[in-house]
Amino acid sequence: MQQRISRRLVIKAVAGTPFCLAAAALAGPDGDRGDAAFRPNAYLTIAADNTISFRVKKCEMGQQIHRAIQAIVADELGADIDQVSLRQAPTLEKFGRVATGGSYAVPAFWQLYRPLIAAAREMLVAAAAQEWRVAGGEIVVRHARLYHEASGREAAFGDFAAAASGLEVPDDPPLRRPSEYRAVGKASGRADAAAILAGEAVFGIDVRLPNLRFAVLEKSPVVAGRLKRYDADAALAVPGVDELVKLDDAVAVIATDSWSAMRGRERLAAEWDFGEHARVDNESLRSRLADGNDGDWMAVRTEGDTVNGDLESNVERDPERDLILTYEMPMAQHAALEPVNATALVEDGRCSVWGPIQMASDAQRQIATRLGLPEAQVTVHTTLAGGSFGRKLELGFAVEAALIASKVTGPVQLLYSREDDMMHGGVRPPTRHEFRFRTSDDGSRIALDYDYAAASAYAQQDRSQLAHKGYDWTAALGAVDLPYAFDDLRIRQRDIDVPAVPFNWWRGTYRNHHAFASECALDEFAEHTDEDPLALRLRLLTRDLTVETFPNELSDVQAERLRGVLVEAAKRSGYDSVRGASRAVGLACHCYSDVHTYVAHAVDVSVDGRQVTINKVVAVVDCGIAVVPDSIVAQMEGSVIFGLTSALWGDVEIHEGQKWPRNFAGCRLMRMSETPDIDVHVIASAASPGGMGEPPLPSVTPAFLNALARAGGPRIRRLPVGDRLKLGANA
Amino acid sequence: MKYRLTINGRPRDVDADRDMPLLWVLRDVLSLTGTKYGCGQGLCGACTVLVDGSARRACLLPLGSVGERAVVTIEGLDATAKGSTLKAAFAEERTSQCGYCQAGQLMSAAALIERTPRPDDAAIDAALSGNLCRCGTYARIRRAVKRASRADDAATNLP
Repeated sequence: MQQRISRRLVIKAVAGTPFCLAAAALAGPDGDRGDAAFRPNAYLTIAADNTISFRVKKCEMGQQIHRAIQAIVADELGADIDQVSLRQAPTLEKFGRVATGGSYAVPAFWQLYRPLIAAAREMLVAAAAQEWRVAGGEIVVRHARLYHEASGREAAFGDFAAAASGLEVPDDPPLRRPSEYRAVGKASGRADAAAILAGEAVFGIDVRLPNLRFAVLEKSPVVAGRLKRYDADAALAVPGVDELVKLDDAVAVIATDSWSAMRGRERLAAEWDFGEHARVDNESLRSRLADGNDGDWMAVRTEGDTVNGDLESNVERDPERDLILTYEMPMAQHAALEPVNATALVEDGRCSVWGPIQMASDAQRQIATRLGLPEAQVTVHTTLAGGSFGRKLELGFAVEAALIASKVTGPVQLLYSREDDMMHGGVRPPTRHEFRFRTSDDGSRIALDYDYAAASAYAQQDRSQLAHKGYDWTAALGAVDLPYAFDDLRIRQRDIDVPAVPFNWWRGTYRNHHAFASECALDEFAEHTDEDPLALRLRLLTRDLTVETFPNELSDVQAERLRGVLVEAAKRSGYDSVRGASRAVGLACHCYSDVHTYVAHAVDVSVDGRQVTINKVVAVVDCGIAVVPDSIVAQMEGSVIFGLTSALWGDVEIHEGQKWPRNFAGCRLMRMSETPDIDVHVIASAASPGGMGEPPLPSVTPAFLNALARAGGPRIRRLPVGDRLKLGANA
Repeated sequence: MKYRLTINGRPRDVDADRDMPLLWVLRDVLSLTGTKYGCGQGLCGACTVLVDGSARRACLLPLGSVGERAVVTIEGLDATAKGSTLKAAFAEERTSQCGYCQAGQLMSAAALIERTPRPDDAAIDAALSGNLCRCGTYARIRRAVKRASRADDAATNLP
């Protein structure tokens, strides 16, 4: 099935890909191999010695997209995967926008970059055809070589690099057919595996430059607190501490090593005027989310009969029969193992920044503005990231590093301690969801009123994004594309703006919230009407859906694919047969429609009083073509652990405007001994590759919670599970 | 203050505060960045090194207490008896997602199979329980340790 190329992707491509006809116009800093190299676009370089390199714009944070991109390039070009070296693209204008997020790296790359690579291949073939005086169609391309089998001639790509450079870039080159894939669908491993295991891979925190110094930043633990005073002399007296840099309401301590910088910061004894935001706590947030008058209710989606634009329901409300359910999703920390950090150097009117930064171009722009430099004088280099899960979407730490460096000589690495990372980072926003299921007298029709309140991330980060719909559209992801065909459906959203607590998108964004609430609610409704939850879902997944998810972008939900993963998960888990007084399988599914990936989970649990044992988790995905199959499995496995951790223990406490806990002692993460048995099944599909960083996550939590309830345990409507249940040893 | 350490089999002289945790001596003074910082409180295991063969959290080990005991970091793992085998097993099992925890996991695993050549799942879980992996690759790590510990078995039929 042809996947629609969304406007979002086109805009990004046009911005990101100078598609010049004259290859020579694209020479630049990549000209380090001399004029004989073939550079048909800003990203691909084939040198005369046949070395192939490709500039990748994506931040590798464990989602293994670099390997997928390497495979796609290799196949389209006609090289072996390990003949293609990836190089990270810094924020140079010729590379266009450098940004990673939304799990759309692979889907977008598949749609937009294969034609560029195919064009390069065709140009090499044309150059060889010209030289050999044969038809291009007789030339076969493999292993970065060109073969004319009839005459026995062959050459390396590099032999024709110069000749190909003189040719016009074709507009509509043929793409590889699936039968020709050698890496896509088959590749495994990763190019940097050995480096990681040797301790040689360079994460942001590992960046080392000559004369590098280290800094930590004393900032208000409460948002917008004012710095009243601090003891500069005491900090400077600490051995190793070189100097202090004062920013707005913050002090950077710069030292010859990270630890001395941290010790120097302790001696600052900074005093703060915390201000009005010190009044916020968890209860005040919960109250605002529960207060239906705090903000406007905005229509997200409405289906059914309407009269004069108002939904005229086929199904009357009936207090006796209606099922009203409320769910609450708390805040959560990202807790990536590498805390945020950035290394910056400002000299001679130029600024260079290195770090595990997902939004490099945005960082470049903000840094240029803050430093008063032209954007072209600011370069951001994306490094490997030790996990992110959304944490490294933020720009603050990169901007701070640049500001600090702008006031001193030499490079400085700004390091956030674990406490800094948890104290200052934006957290997953809290939400509250209310479902009102109504059934007709004869039970044949179901209507749903789904109202939810969401603390808005965009209200803090970019208010211009609220203009499009009048609400934070990211908070509607997972609701606007709710896949079930109710007879009447009314979905409404109410944003709350909470300046006192920093929010950021967390892996899966608000889809986690909606999947948790709606997949649990559906199970509860099924129980209420005495119908099997799987049967109910299959009965309601009857039609495809096309809705606007991202601004001006339509996404599809294909019911058949969602039914497919659900049925497979049920089958593989023994959903029907595994049912005892205290043991059951719970199901949930989710369609991550904007990156067209379909996932279902079946969780087999046993409940004994307050102890729950997770016997097995079955995870099924339909992500279209699985470009690097084992990495798909890895993302599914990892998400199960990430999701269970969050359901069981994920929470953030706010006391007087300050976030706790600040280290792992209070932020419990699942350990090796607690890992359940996970069985992953990847559905074979020829559809375009979907995204895999986030899509495997949303259905984990509700599948687990549904299993708990079905096994005779509690029905959890407010996360985390916490002390209500203890995780037992695995069967 | 000056200290002579033994890092990966070599004497290394450093001049730093006696309270500086070994982690920062390694990363910032010696630029051996393979050992990672994750929490600074011994809670995550990312900073695990071997000190006389035992797994220790370098973030909690003050420089002044190390002496000339043999410190092995991820950079020196190959020189240990099972180091290369472990790394090969981790690579075979494709344990790395973000990769940040891997050095610490390897060092804990190295300490384990040095004292328990054939650990079962429970022993592996116990020894590596202090090594957090946010990406959730635990099952692969466990399989890798098993694989490495049985790599010398003549009877082992490795795929």
